[in-house]
Amino acid sequence: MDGLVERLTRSVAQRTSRRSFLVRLGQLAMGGAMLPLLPIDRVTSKAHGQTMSEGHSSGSGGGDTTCDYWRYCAFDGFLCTCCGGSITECPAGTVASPTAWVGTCKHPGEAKEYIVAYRDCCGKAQCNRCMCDNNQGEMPIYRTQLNNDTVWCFGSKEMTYHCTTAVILGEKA
Amino acid sequence: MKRPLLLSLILTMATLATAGEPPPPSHQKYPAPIQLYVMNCWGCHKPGGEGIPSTVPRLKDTVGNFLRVPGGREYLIEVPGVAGSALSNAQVAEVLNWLLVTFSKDQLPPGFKPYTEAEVAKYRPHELNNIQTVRDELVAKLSAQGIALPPQ
Repeated sequence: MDGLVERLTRSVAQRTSRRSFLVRLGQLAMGGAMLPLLPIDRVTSKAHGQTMSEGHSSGSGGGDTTCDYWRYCAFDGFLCTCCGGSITECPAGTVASPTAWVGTCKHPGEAKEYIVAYRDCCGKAQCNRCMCDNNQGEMPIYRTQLNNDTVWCFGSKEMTYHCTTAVILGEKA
Repeated sequence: MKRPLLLSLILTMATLATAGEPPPPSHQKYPAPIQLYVMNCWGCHKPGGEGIPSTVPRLKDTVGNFLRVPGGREYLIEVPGVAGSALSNAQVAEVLNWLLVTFSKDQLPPGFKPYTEAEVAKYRPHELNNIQTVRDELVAKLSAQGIALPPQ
């Protein structure tokens, strides 16, 4: 064991100098200091934590558990983020419907609209938490493709509605 | 050799530092006909035109066959999802031409002519009183040509 450590130490000592070690330590420290400057999406995180509008949601907290979160502009149903799922995933015990209704929402802070798929999670009794009923761009029931009152569980083996997710599909051109 | 190692270490630390951030929204922009499909058809016909058995008609490797029999060209405009869509006649022609070539190129008849806005305007007002009967008749004509379509 002593021999091994000695060989290793000698090997390192022969290939490096104390100065090079200090240089690399300095680079590492500098790199760490630069981390906050790396590009990250602060706009989204700001929107994520925006203040909930009064009377807009029965949920508590902020971000995607409240009805005024920007992705929910055309939402009608219970937020899966309050029901044990996430904004993109269904809660355990439910299945994502193969069908979804598609709308567009404007991102706060950006002059851009995004295409959002509202997909129902089906197979359990309705969640009854964080009811959210926004209707931007919604059409009457006889324009089914653009109507969000419809239970979009059709195509699924389970027709019982539980909650709804909101997935970004892309940026509207 | 050593610098990339250091760079990867910094990037790893940066990744860890931002791990708690919500994922940024997708900035993918679709060309016009694809966006029309995503916003008006995708929700039911699915991303690749797979459809849903017994619920939503399949487009992939299928829809182009309808142009091989009399009445099929009109049928694709008259179906409720197209005729009753929120799209203009020009947009219907655009998205339909795109999906025919994208999802069902091999089933298109030789000399396929893309739909025009005027053609959509001509067929669109015609209401299909019994869509299943019309579809069954078209499927029977295709079957007589040796082309089998999935049941719907």
